[in-house]
Amino acid sequence: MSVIQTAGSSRGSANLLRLVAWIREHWISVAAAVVLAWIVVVPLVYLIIFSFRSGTAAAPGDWTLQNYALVYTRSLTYEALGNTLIYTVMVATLSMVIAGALAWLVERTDMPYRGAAWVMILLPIAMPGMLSSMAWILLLAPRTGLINVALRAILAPLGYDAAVGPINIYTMEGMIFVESVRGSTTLFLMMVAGFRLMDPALEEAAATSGARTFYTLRRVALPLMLPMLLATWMYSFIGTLDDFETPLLIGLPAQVYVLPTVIYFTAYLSSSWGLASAYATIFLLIAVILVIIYHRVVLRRSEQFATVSGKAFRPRRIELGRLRWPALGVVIVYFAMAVLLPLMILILASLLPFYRVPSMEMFGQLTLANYETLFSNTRVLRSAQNSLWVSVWVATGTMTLAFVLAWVIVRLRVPGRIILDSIAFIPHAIPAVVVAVAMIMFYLSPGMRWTGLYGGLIVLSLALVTRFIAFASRTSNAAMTQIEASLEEAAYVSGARKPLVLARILFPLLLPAFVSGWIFVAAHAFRNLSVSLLMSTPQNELISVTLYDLWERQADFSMASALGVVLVVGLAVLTILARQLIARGYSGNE
Amino acid sequence: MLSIRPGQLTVRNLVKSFASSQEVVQVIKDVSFAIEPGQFFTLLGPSGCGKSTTLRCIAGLERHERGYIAVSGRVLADSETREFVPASERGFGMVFQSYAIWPHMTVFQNVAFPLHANRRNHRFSRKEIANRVEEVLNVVRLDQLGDRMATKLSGGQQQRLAVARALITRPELLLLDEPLSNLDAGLRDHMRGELRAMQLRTGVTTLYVTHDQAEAFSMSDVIAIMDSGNLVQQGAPREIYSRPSTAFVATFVGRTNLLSIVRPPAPVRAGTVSVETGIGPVLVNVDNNRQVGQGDSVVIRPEDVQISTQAPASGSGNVYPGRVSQPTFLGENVELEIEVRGEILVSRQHSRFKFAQGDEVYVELPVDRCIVVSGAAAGVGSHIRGAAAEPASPDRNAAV
Ligand SMILES: Nc1ncnc2c1ncn2[C@@H]1O[C@H](COP(=O)(O)OP(=O)(O)O)[C@@H](O)[C@H]1O
Ligand SMILES: [Mg+2]
Repeated sequence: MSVIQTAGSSRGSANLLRLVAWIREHWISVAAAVVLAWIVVVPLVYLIIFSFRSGTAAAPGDWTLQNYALVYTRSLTYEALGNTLIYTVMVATLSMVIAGALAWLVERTDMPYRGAAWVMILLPIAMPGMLSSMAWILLLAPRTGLINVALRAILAPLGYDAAVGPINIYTMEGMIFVESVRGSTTLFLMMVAGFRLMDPALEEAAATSGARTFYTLRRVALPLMLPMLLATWMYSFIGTLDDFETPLLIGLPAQVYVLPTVIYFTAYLSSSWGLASAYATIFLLIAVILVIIYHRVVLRRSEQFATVSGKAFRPRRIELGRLRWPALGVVIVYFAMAVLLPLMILILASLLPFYRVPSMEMFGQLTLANYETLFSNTRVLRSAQNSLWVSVWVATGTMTLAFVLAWVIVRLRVPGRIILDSIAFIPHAIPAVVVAVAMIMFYLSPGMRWTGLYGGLIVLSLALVTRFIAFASRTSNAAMTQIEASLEEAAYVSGARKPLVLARILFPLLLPAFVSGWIFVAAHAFRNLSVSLLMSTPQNELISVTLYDLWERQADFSMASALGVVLVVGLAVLTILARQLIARGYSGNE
Repeated sequence: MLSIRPGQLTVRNLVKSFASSQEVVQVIKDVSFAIEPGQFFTLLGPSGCGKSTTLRCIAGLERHERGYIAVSGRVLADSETREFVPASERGFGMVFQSYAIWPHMTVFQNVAFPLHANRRNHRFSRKEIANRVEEVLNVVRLDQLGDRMATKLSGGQQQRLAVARALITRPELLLLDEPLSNLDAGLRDHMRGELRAMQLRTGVTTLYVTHDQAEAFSMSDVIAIMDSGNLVQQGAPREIYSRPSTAFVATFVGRTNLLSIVRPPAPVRAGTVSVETGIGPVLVNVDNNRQVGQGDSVVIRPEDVQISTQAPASGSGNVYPGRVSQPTFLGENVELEIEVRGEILVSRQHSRFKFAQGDEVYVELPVDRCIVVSGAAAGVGSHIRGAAAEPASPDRNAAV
């Protein structure tokens, strides 16, 4: 008996030794996996577990299905689900129509000033969602909206004498409108890529066989593009599902709730954390299923269909004739709605001492006082400082983790790398509010509470790393595959060990990709509201939260506008800087 | 001058497989060889036969599953004892097919990197590094270019830079994986000579991998022919060419007439047998201990195939009447395809001999030039083989 036990334990210790040796050899991979699990898997698992428990986050009680029962019986649940469905379907469809029309105009027609059109269509990227919503509220609020005031003046002679309207932004239609205009930019880029991938030979074959342009479009081009359109639509659908800012700023006053705002409401405003976790878990499930469908079915099919010819080609541009200038008009109208009008009203509002119904006299009162107040307001300065700190660390942390992961996945080929890759991709499917709720639950839990991290900038930063790791990991995987393996192998043979190879060979080679990813993450962390608002405490207030607070709770529209203008300018400068850096980085190499 | 203490390499029973999603493919099947100090040893074989993989196992970039690798008595990898020294600790120099020049560094930085990387073994002072780099750049004739960005070098210069970087640590063993395959033809011939001269000057033990027989013949002390993961023959270049042991070696190395033996031999006199082939009976010399049988072939090089318009008087035995079916003028030489009993024999003659299509000739195959090898031509009627059949495409080097 004792002999067997000794044999067993010595085999056990031999296994342990082997494990230790393995970890020692693969410590970089192990460290990356542990960090990834800590920021992605652990909080999510904890969230799901907590949704089955009673009590509070700090003191979880018994196991229960109470939370789900409550979700099931609340009529708000069904209302929110219905709204979410309408909102996401409508936004996805509408923004795809807008993006498709714009992409077609610049890629396939002889519209004039196509270069300028590109800029006009891409500029909205620099506009945070929160500011779009604020601007459109200033323009279309039923009583005070500038456009409504103007419309009323025009319609008065025709007998329109109500003090409100005629347009009300605080409706489902308002939300859909604002979000569709704003969400078209990314889709535009996807559609352009789709147009370029399509083999025009097929299209031209139809054209030369005598088919008319419209017929070609309908019978040949459209069926060819259908899988690509579906993929784009679904991408937009999933993105809109995650959208928090428009539903918060416009939906909440309109009492139009969607899933993210219901979670925010339940968690933050009424502190029902168990219920919020149940909602979050359900939301997570929906999002994960959608993302799986998107990747397994839609993307794969669209790749099959996209008849990539591989050779560069000059597509035949359709001659618009007399419609050339009206076509440019369409782009200009889009630009006005996406950037020009919102920015103008924000600037106007920021120059007013206090915001009120627009009139002619107010032009005499324009002042820079708001900006002066802004730059001397300690709260604003403190949250700006917080935001800077958070963006720098989140961008650095996310990109570093992503690059080490890419190295482990693409190059080291350790066993289990597929799992790592998948885990790094999960956050792509996690709605921002779910990340926030999970992080809060986890760091408030008895197991983590003692660390005192909850409520501070560190946990908030971790949540944002989780939020952006999927994007960062995809970018860095792509960059890593571009680097020939022999460049690293030459370093190993030269006597360099892994850390030196990372630092001296890989890092410098990947720097352009690292920098562009860094700037993207920094800019998005800086403007993020969904995670930072849910997780905000007086200690960790970010500038986006301050902006929301100025707008919503203090109703200081002028101050909020001034801060918004500063933010837009800052982000635009950062984006331009990024583009230049990237351009320089790529031309400097090879 | 670079003072290198050349090492001795032993590889025994090397086995390596790659697992793809469906199957496990054995890429190296029991390869053994040894390289003596200072030798220039070449692994020659067609693309995909496992040369690079062998080299990478020796460098420590791949982990083999069975076998033993040692340098000058130092065990680097042994599947019995599960010993494995990682690439960074082996201390070899290696030149990659793509050169793997680091594009973000200058020439100097590229060459100096291995000295930095080996700091844990020996800390070089700034001056030492500068001296060493200068010395090795002199060896490859890149002095004066130290400050240039590595990417601003021409193809040939990049190749020399890669060699310099491999030599900077004065390695016991230099590994080269098709270093010339990315160069233009003219430059390739030139660099061939330079590489060999450099190797002779430094005396470094060199393992060279190529699919180009001209490179192998002109540079090597010893050539090992590789085929589908096996070493099939090893020897001095001349021996490989004139005494191939298999049909594969004979056809892979140079152009060759390959005559399949269709009937077991009949002894003629001591050391000579007559074998039946497609063109009739052929007398060949054989070792006493060599069994000749069906499935073997007779090999004779085109330059050994004699041609005359009258029947040779000597009557050595192997004389066959035939007809010139295709003369090809190659400048210095003419290459004649001669039809003998429906088979084609290739003969190479000095171009002062003039033959026209349809000329009736006598073909003589000198007995001492007819070699019996094991194995037969791969396909019916395609018995003329040689370098021309080897695709000139650069070796597909699987990226890992
Ligand atoms: N990392 C790898 N994974 C799978 N197969 C590989 C890998 N590396 C090489 N191979 C395969 O092994 C065989 C030998 O490759 P290689 O050693 O590069 O040949 P050579 O250098 O002689 O052309 C080839 O069939 C190649 O496809
Ligand atoms: Mg190779």
